[in-house]
This record gives sequence, structure tokens and C-alpha cells, in this order.
Amino acid sequence: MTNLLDFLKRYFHVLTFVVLQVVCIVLISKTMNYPGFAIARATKVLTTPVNRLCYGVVRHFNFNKENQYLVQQNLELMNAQESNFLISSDSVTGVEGDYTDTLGRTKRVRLYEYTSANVIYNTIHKKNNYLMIDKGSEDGIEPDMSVLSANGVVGVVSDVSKHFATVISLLHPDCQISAKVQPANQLGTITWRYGDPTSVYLEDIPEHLNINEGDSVLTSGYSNIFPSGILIGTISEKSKNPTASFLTLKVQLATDFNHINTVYVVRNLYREELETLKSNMKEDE
Amino acid sequence: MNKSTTNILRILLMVGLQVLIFNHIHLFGFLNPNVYLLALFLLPLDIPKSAQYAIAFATGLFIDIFQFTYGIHASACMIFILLRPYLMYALNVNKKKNDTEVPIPGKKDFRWLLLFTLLMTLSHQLIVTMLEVFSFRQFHHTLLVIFANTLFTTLLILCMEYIFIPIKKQNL
Repeated sequence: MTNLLDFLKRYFHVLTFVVLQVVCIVLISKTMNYPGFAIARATKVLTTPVNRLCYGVVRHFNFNKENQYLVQQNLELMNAQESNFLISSDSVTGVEGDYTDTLGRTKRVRLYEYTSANVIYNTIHKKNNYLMIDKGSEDGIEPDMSVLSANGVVGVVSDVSKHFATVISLLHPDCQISAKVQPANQLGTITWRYGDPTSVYLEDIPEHLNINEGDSVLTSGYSNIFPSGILIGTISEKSKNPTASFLTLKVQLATDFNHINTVYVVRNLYREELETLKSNMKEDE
Repeated sequence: MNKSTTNILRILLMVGLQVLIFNHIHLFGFLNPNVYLLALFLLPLDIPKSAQYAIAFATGLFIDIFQFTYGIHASACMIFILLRPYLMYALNVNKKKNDTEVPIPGKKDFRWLLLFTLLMTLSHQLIVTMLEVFSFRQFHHTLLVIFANTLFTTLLILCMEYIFIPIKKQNL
């Protein structure tokens, strides 16, 4: 104890000096901004790469959450697309009040609605390929709803359980969807042939049409399952059918079926009505 | 008047002079002499060091308050007090240890005083200017400010010492 007191007595001036200097430094750093900025600027050479490295590692832990936000945002954007709506009338020809809402915007009728789901099972190399998604009848999934990925068309829902649903992927011989090739704007049917999971074939295209490799193939929107204008793929090969005057076009798929994770399921809100009409047509035949 | 009263009054006088007059001198835009250092030059060396530091801190902070540079002058003044005995020892010819005599005209010759004042002022000015500028950009200008201010302050302090301190005839 006496030693300590002796020590303090001997070095009291050092202690005073240090304490008061610290007070000075605190005052300087509290009241003057410039030194802080100057130091930050001077040490940027060191801090920037370290921070970037650190953030580059840390951000991987947030990808899951980030993905959820992105899927949510994608859904909102997809639902807001103009092609999801039937426009009953525009504000030029329509009587004001009848066809516009309180803000003066044209009243629109929604035709398609999107929800998201995750793929939990997927095959691509079998003869009949299926996917399974983690949403079912409890989430409002029904058979014959279309399934899209971020890049393009994936398939059609075939069977639904309470919490899961089976999807016939495009890589299935029975999955024939109506498509049109742009810019020729010609309708055709998409079919898949066993073997190559990266491409499908577009058939029934007349020979005289000017169709080039690289042209886009989109959904036609006539099937009541797919909204119109969804990308299926691009034409990669052109071959002539020797027996008929139709072209068979090989289409490079936009969707990479090997790496499907998040898909969007599209519901046609008026499908039953449209189906009834179509069945009436068939009865007339 | 006893010694402590004299010292306190001198410090108050010098700080007052600095705040009221010398802070408003801006010769050529950058010459701003820190004449209040005279009070620290004449601070007795035989009082406890912690007390010296406290006095230097208070003096510097008082100057800071009027210049809005909180802490800079206080820090420089304390380093001034820290350096003072060592520089005195280093400049002494006869290397007398524990010299507690305040160096004033009459005790030391002019050349010694000039060198001592110059070096002490330089150390103080260096810290003040560098902390205030806090950058090595346009360093030549910073150096110019430091040296010009040092010379000006030294000149004024020596003048005041020779004018106001009565030289008692002694055999030097």
C-alpha cells in the first residue's frame, strides 16, 4: 500500500500529463470533424480492401433473406404487369365514372395472378420428367396452372396434394403448349423429344415464312394456362420436313432445367368460364 | 505580493492580452503570434509538475475557448511544459542538474535566451499548426506559417521580456 502511494506520489505529474492530454485529444476529436475525415481518407488504402473482403464473406449469410425479398419483389412486379389485365374500356371511349375508378384510372379486370414456390424435386434425364413444388391446395394451387421460372416457361401443374403439387415439366412428351415465333408472329406447338434437356421443337410452322436463328419463341396466350408473351426460348436450328411443307424448328430453352429453385405459379382467374365456353365449342362439332 | 499571486495575475494578464489584442492580429493573413506563451516561460520551475501541467492546460484551454479550437492549445501548452526542463538542461553549459531558476534576462545571456525561446516557441507552434491543419497537403505553406509565426512570437516575447523584466545587475 505504501509502495503504491509512493509510486503515485513520484509519478503524479506523469499521470496528470497523460490524463490532461487525453482530455485534449477527446476535445479535439469531439469538436473538430476534419481530422476524422482526414484519417479516414488516409487509411482508405487499407480499410477499403479489408471491408470489401469482409462484406464479400458476410453477405453470403444473408443471401437467403435477400432471395426472399427478391422473390417477393418479383411477384409484385409480375402481378403489376399490363398483360395480366383485361382492359374493359379505355378512358377515351368510355363514359367517365362507369369505366374509371375514383382516381380516374381505367378500371381493369385482373386475369392472371402470380404466387411463388420452391422446387423440391426435379428430373431432367428421364423419359417423362416431373417437378414437385412445396405449395399445394392449401396455398391455392390447382391443376392446370402454369409454372414459370425467372427466365421462362417451366411447365404445368398436373396433380395437387394438400401441401405439394406435381408439375409436368416442358421436358415431357405430353406437355404440348401453344407458342408463337416472333417477329414472324406465327403460331405453332412446342413438343419435347426424349434426350436433350436443353431444347424443344416448334412444329407446324409454314415453310415460306422468314424465320431466322435467334428469333424468340413466346407463349401465345391462347391456352388459358399461360399468360401471353412469356419467353420459352430462342430458335437455334432450322430444318425442313421432307414430307410436308412445314418447318421444324429447334428451340434452345430459356429456362435452365438443371438449376431451378424458385418458380412462379400463375393462376388464370377466369379459367373455368373459358373452359366451359371451349367445351361448348366441342359439343357443337 | 507573494509569488503565486504574481504568477496568477501574470497569466491572467497575458491571456487577456492574447484574447483581446494578439488574436486579432492577422499579418499577411497568417501571422498570429501566441504571445501568451510568455506567461508559461516565466512559470516557476520549482512548483510541483502536476500543478504546472494543470496551469498549462487551463491556460491553453482558455485560449482555445476564444479560438474555437478546443484542446489544441491546451495540448500544445502541456507539451511545452513537458519539454521546458529538458531543453534547459540540454542548453546549459555547466550541466547543472535540477536547475530551477527561471531563465530571464539578467540570469541568462541574450544568445541563450534567443535560442531557448526560439526552440520552445517552435515546438508549441508546430503542434498547434499541425493539429489545426491536420494534413500534409500544401506542406510548404504549413511550414511557412509555422516558421513565420515562430519568429514573430519569439521577437515579441523577447521584446516584452527585455522591456518589462528589470535586469538586476549580476556577474554573469
